[in-house]
Amino acid sequence: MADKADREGRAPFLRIHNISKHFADVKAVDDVSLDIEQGEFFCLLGGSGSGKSTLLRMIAGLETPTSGHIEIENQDVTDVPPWKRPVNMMFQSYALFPHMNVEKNIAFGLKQDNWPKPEIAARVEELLNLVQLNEYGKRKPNQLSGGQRQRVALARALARKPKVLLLDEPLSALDKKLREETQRQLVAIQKEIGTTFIMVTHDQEEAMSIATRIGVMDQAKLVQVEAPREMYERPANKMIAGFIGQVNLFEGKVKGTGKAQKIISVDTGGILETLEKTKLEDGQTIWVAVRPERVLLKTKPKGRAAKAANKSSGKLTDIMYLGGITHIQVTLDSGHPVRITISEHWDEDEAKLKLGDAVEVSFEKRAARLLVD
Amino acid sequence: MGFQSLKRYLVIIPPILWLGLFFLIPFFVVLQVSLSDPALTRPPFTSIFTWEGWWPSSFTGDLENYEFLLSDSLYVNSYLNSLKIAAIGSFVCLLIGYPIAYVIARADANLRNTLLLLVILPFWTSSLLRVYALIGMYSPNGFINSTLSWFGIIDTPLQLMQTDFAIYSGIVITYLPLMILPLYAALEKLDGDLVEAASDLGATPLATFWRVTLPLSISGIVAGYLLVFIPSVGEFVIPALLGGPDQLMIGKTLWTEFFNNRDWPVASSVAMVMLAFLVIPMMFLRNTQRAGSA
Repeated sequence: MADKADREGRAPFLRIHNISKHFADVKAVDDVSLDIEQGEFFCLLGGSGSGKSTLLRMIAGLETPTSGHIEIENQDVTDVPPWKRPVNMMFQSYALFPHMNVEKNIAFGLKQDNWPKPEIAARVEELLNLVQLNEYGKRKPNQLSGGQRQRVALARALARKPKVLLLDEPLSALDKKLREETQRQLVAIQKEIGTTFIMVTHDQEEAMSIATRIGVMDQAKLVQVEAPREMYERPANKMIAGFIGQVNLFEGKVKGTGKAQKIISVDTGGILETLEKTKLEDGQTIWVAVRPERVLLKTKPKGRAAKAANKSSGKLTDIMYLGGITHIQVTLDSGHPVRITISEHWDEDEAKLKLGDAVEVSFEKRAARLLVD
Repeated sequence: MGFQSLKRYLVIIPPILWLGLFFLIPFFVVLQVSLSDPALTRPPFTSIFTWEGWWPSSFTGDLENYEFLLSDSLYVNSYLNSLKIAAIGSFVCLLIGYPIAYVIARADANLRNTLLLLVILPFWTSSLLRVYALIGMYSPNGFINSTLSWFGIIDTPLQLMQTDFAIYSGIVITYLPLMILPLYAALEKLDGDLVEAASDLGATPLATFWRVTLPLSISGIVAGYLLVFIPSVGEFVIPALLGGPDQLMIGKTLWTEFFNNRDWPVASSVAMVMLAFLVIPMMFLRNTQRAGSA
């Protein structure tokens, strides 16, 4: 019944229901469910072989799911062939038709849908404007640069005004500078036309900077779906914590129960404290994750260091000065490395710290995230 | 001339010599014979030059033989019929070869090599034997007729030999691999993403074929078509063994002129005209290949 209410009330725009895809005995996508709202810029993030592209291809209809189904605006499209789906895909290889010029490539889908000629011409013009390629309509794909081809592919995929645009690693063939510029253009275009975008990428920075929400896939499963900031602040597990940005992981053992419960660091023997109130069992192994920019660093005080929670001492073993930020590595007395990022201007004299110095590292309780797997 | 360019000449001179000796000189010999008159000598034609020492002093060649070809409808009809049979035969090869090439190009790698081998395998037997095998199939007491009459489907044997059908099937059996291989090469290069992109953009499988697959395999179609068409035009074995006396083909006419009538000058002019007919499609092939690679 809840399902019915959903359908009448705020039914999700795109609903993926328990989708699985098996190739022979390999599970490419394993029981994934996901709702995506109209107008979202959703990023599917994962390493190679995580199943993200297969999931995208199932939404496009290019793969048939082994089980589960896909709905777009309450229409079950699971068995609808790709040429009848209200979605279009931008291919990683761009897949531009080499025997057609830019205009004909963009008009391909419109001609297929039997649009009248003048309307096709107007729509092609509009799209060439959108991707800033007005001068290039008569060129063949092999007469264009990589970035231009990428924009033609985008225009062609948008031509039929799809309800959902699927992008399969659309920027992976571009160099770093062009990629960043194109990311901004992509976001601007998506805002302008308001179409739902679903993009597959293995680049977490790209996902962070573009997406309204990110879905992380690992080993055929959708592990966590969250907005970029929440994903960074509250990763669901160690894999995501390490995948989205950098992280320091401190392994801990739970001791005792109730009020007297403590987490003892496996490396240093010190006490680890967080603000999280996850119910833990005596003897359980957990991890405390701290982002490098939330680790505090200072010169080790003379004499005996105070034994306090979330605090340890070590040696400064690496400084990598990058201008705006500085990466520092401290090796704790236990041998465990800790990464620290300092975003203020790093000045060795001012900081009175140099390689080999004995230092004290610590982090606040609120900076620590408790992970159970 | 530097040492490098000398080496380059050393590499290209042997093939040039070879082509000159065995292609260009015979070509001029045939051209010369085609301009001469038949004679009861050995070889059976007159010389078109009279020689004074090393230098020809007078030229007596003429285009009489070519005029003769035009005057007798036998030759014109032979040419037209040859072109027609070659054109239709090549088209039948294309219709049969395209799906085969498509399936091979889409098969997975292991199977692909086996299938390609099966396509080439008949080429390892003599084409003469393959055409003879067709006689065994088509003759009045051949395999087809005896099987059909054994089942009681027919009473009198079907006329299969000496028909257009026999000639077309002969062309298909002989030249199909020459059609399949270039088609396969073109289809194998075809990016599967393009086919997926077309279907994603609303094209049904049939529309995808017409708008993407076919145009992108056009270089293979042209190459395969001409590879079958060109030898088919001058084909002698197939019409001689499978065709009837009223199926004129230029290869057969040529044979008759040379060996039955011993009219070398007319036979040579038949050959020269045929060459002219075939050079034109060859130039066309070269152009499309160049356009395809650009």
